Amino acid sequence: MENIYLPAGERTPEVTLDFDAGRFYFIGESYPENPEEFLEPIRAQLGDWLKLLPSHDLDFQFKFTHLDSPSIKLVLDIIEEIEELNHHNKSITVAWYYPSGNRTLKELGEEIASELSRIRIAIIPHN
Amino acid sequence: MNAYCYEGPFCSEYFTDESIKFREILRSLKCDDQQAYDLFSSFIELFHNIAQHAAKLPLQNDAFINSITLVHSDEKHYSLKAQNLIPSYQEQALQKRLLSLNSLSKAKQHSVLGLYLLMKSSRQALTWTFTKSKFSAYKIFNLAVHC
Repeated sequence: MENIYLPAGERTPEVTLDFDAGRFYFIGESYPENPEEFLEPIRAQLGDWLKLLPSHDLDFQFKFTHLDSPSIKLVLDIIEEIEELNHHNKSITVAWYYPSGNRTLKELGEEIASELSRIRIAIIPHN
Repeated sequence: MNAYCYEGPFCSEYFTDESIKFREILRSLKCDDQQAYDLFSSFIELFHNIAQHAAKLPLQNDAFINSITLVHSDEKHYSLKAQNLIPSYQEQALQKRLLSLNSLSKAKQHSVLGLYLLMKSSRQALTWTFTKSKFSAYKIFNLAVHC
């Protein structure tokens, strides 16, 4: 699958889907004007790729500075798929970065982490 | 006094301009970073929520009924108030969803994620009422986020 890089927009995050390296980064604000239009292709492509049971290690980094409910839903969908993959003994790293001092994003990361039984999410403050 | 008031129309074309305007207002107010984040988050959810309801209604003009208002509730706190029309028959279901928020333990209950986020942002309380509207088949849903 072809790698995807989307630069950050006014209301959309920088998205890196590096299928070759197994690296997936989401950085910045995410509250698109038309959430479905922006988020659905990401969900579909990443979901399809994960279903192929990739053989290499995976690194997911969520570094949002703002996100709306459709974007949270995307993250939850991705994380659920990642958790399913963990059956296959891969090394999977998931990091949730939150702006230092932002309780809402910190708590959101903690709540998402608490839902998961098979993978651990590192909750990391950043400046 | 209102720090901000928008009375529609509520649709995606207007979302961008209004979100920029709202953010500028937040910058001009003396709120801390957390408050500004929570208020802006709530604004986004409320705008999308009203737009979704408005798109389903047969009424052509949502102006002066649907609205989002930011008020300074005391020296340090703000209330972001939204009101929008909903069909009367939806009141009970909406009430049920709102009441379920207190017992939610899972962030991934997707169906109420928007409301859940509003509750999370509301550091004091999330309040709501349903009042009569001038249209007999519709009620006004008033939702307030207090940060």
